[in-house]
Amino acid sequence: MSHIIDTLKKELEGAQADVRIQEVGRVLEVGDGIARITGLAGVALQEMLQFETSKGIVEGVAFNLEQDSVGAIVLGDPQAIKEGDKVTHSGRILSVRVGQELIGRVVGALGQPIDGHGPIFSEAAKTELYPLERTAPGVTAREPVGTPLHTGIKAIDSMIPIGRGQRQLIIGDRQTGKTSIAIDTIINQKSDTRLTTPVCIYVAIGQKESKVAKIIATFEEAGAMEYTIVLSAPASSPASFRYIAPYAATAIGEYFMEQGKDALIIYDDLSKHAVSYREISLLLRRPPGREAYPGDIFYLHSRLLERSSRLNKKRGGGSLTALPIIETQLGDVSAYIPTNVISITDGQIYLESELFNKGTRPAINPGLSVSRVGGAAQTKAMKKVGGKLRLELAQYRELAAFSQFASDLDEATKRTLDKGRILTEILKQPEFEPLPFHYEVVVIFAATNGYFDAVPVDRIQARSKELMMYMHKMHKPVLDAIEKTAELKDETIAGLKKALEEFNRVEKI
Amino acid sequence: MTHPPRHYAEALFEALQGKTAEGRRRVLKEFMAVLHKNRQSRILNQVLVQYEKVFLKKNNVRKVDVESASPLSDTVRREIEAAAGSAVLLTETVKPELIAGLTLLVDDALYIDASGRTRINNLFR
Repeated sequence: MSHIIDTLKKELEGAQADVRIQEVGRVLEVGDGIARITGLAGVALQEMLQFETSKGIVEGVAFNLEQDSVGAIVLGDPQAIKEGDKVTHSGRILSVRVGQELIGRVVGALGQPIDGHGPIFSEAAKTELYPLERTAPGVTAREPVGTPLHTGIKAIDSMIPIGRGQRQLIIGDRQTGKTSIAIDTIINQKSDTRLTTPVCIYVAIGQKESKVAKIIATFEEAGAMEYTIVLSAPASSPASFRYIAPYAATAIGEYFMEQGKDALIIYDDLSKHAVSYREISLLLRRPPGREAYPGDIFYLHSRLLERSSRLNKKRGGGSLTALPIIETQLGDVSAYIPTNVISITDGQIYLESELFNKGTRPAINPGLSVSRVGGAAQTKAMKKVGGKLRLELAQYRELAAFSQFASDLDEATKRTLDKGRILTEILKQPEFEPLPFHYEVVVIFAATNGYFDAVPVDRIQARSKELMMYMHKMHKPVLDAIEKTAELKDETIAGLKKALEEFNRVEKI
Repeated sequence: MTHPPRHYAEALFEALQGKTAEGRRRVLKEFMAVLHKNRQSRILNQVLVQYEKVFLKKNNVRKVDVESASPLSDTVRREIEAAAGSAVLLTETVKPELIAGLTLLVDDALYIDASGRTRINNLFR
């Protein structure tokens, strides 16, 4: 003990003056989650700030660099900050701690655990920080999207396929099933045994906490939390947290992508994100533009979504697939934020209230939905069976309107209408029941090749379930062949046709 | 018509130059009316902060806030004034928790920490 004291004494006596010099600022005003600071002439944009309050250090981010003051968003308790408090800048930009340990956890906008399961990282764990704002991979670092990401929803996987590394927008009015599609996609990821299960990240922006709790319970029930991270910035959180949440989640996704893994990120939803950014910008007195959004509202989402990509083999071959969600008002896809995000993404899945109310669920409008990646993101099997679906449904929609007025229809028209009704019915699917892709292939093959023609429309759903059970029990080798090869070879088609003919002879399973 | 706080502060400083006490009261009253007319009363706080900066700069005075573990001696005061290179508006606060040494905040912008507390904290980091 005396040895330690002697060493300490020598240190203190022999110490040269250790003077720390730093730039500081003073808080001019604080409120509504933002603070205005005088001084800090050398602060950089997006640099982390530290407010020295009576209750300890509160962190913030420099957001507005004005001539005489700095506008900052507060990332802690703004009530602790008083006018006149000292502010220092840290020389760091806002970052989130990443690691495998995040999988299975529910975290806040800054990556802090909020699920009550204790700290995420052990003390011995290596600290790896990823910045929230980052440049997207360049053109030469990327590879074209070519590996499917199956949602387990027949209508999407057959007509609007999504690939790993794509950005596919889910857009529609409130209560049309947007989040359900996202949840089904996450649940389905463990079913594709040919490909590795991607790490899924669900970002809840401005959602009700009860809704987020329900979603987490759904993931737990389906076993999806084993590969999922939930990041929540609920409606009750400050606008600054709702603003940074998607960037934090993207940084986490990039961590997995750069390790050569696949990751899926769902932003639910970016409309609320835009509103939060508008709130912050207006509080910081930035000039409002159209609909009072700031001038860089496009850049807010473009720089976020551009970070989702598929990296080439040299960079590890990982991917980050993004499914942003946008809520429209009264079906208006030509509004400001929806058109912005539509122009950024590689396609959209458009959900209609009218279809939802009519019982077509998922309420996907195949005419207005598109995937710009298309068949490149489909297995050969799905390409074969889904190829004519969109066209047949389009023909059906056109004739369905016409048939309401016509009394006498010719045979060809009747066939098209019947076929359309069957296909529409086949594409309906209950929520939280995603199908592995080989089952999807079988059902769509059966529908497009007339094996459901004799089934009454109101029995088609039940019959398709019976078909899947039948195939699983009696013709598993055919299913396995489709699952393993992802192709419909001639012998597989022959086996499938034989199975379907046998199935049709069976009245009821 | 809106103006940044610094412009108001500079204009107010010029307007107050050479005025008697009654004249200064009148100028301040008119200044408040102008702020109100321009719907910028809410920035008064920022204008006052800028005014202090303008006042000190124009009068070649540096503002130095000193926190020390024990009361400053005249020698230290003179050293601070000499280091500042101009007249100094010195505010002194005694904070025994600094253990030793002192901290200086110069012109509300530069913070110099030569306290014993920070030195000891750094030793144990």
